[in-house]
Amino acid sequence: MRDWLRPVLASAALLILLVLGAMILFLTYKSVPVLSREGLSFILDSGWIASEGGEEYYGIAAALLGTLYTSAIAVALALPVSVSLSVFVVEMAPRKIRTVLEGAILMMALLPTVLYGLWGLTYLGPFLLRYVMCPLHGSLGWFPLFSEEPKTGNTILTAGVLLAIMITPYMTAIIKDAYSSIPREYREGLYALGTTRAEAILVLLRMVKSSIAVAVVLGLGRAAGETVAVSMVVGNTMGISISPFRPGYTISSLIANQFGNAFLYRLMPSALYGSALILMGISTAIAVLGLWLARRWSIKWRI
Amino acid sequence: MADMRRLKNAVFLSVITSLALVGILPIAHITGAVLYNGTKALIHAGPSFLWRAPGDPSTGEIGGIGPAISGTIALLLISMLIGFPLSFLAGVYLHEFPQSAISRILMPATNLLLEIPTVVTSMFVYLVLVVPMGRFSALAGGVALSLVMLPYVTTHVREALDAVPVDFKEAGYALGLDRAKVLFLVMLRAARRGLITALLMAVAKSVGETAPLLFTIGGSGEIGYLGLGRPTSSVQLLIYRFAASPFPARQEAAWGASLILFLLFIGVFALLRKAQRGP
Repeated sequence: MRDWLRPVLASAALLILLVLGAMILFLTYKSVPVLSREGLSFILDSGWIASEGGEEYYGIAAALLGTLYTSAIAVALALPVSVSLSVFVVEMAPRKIRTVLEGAILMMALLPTVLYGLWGLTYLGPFLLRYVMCPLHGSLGWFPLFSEEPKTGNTILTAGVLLAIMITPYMTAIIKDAYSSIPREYREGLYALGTTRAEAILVLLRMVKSSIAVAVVLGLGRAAGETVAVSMVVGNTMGISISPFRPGYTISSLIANQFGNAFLYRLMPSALYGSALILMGISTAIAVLGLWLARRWSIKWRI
Repeated sequence: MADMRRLKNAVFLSVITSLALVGILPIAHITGAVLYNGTKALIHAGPSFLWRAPGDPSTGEIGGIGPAISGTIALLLISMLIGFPLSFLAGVYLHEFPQSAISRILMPATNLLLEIPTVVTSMFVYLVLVVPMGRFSALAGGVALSLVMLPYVTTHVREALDAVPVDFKEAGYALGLDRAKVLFLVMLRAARRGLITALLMAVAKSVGETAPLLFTIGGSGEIGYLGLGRPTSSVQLLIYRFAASPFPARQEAAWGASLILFLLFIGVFALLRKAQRGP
């Protein structure tokens, strides 16, 4: 009995694989009723009709678009911030401030998500309503993006901004690791050529653009899957609009809100398992893409 | 010409600085808001906030979050007892046998598990534990949380062991020790800082996540931990539910609870930072 350890370790590893497999199988199995009945219109239609005994119909297009919309806003806002934060921490901050900032970034990454939600509900939503949505609608209301009259702080925009705050530390971690591992000689070479600091930074940033791409992809995946904070600020209302100034739904907040009472209805549980399957499909596809890119360009980082 | 370049440089650097400031501002404001509102709620409710049950919201009485605190502590212990050993063993496996067939699947699988939305995990546990048992339970919540911490711990354990110089292992084998002895007597000790990080990461995840508890523990505030197979409440879920309540007393309780959760989190976080940065 020389190597009794291997089977013990292997069984733990196998158990994890088993759970992951079971997860995918169960979700697929449970979504069969709604998918076989509605087919593609499950994701292309936006009606959400729940009725006890009567005819039920579930389409998640509105929630799906909400997920894509909020995630897109989040990444668009988080990208310039994470790039700047990375550059600032590595290039410009004095040693002491650098340590403090790195601590703050890690704290942001790990902070309980429900605290983000509570803060977003109390401060961020009202702030955006008063200082962003109302002024923009008032002065540029003819523009489709600002056409919706803002009535509440809980909107697609608020969810997008909150998500941007939440994914910034993840994206920063990836970009910062790449940026700080650029060999010293490059920087010295650039300064020797007589570049200004800004010119040097722009060249160095171009060297880590693959890491920035990976950060965008993985940030998108994080944003799409976030549940608790988003469902506290997104407004939880079905509907499709090009303007982000109205309440909406995301797939994850749809599940969080409806799953509790879904079992009063015949088909709704299946519709929600179907939504979860779609959500998992999206996250998985994004993660696989991100990890594939990271591997191809051999990018490494730590959470 | 030179002035133009100098101007561009100044503008660019100030844009970078202000965007970096914008990125860090929210966490400062969140911290301030939690400390301020939480302290106010705690002073209003008195020290019994820590052990009483939530009050009747229509009377304006805040009451306390005692049951939720006991639930959160129980859920933390359950999830650590289930999740940590399992992911620790899996992490060791990935380190010891990186070329095996299981590892080749498990490596990408842990990355996948990391990206699975935690609300989906909650639905899965509902299906495999809550439905067969016939009710919500602390066990289901603990299992859901341990599934969430799994990929983090596995990755950290593997990386901690991989970071130990290979000479250590070779020296162990040269002394005639077997794999288990080398692992327990040499490797774990050499990698202990990384392993502590993994442990604290698991704790941070366990207190940080709310979505896994949505469809697993059932309780919303009144009942505390009563046993593995019984429903329980938790501080995280209480904040989530109370924050949306129309009653001011409930919202105040949510802020008070957020301070408790924040202090718990900061304690774990401080240890984590210390472990990461070394002595």
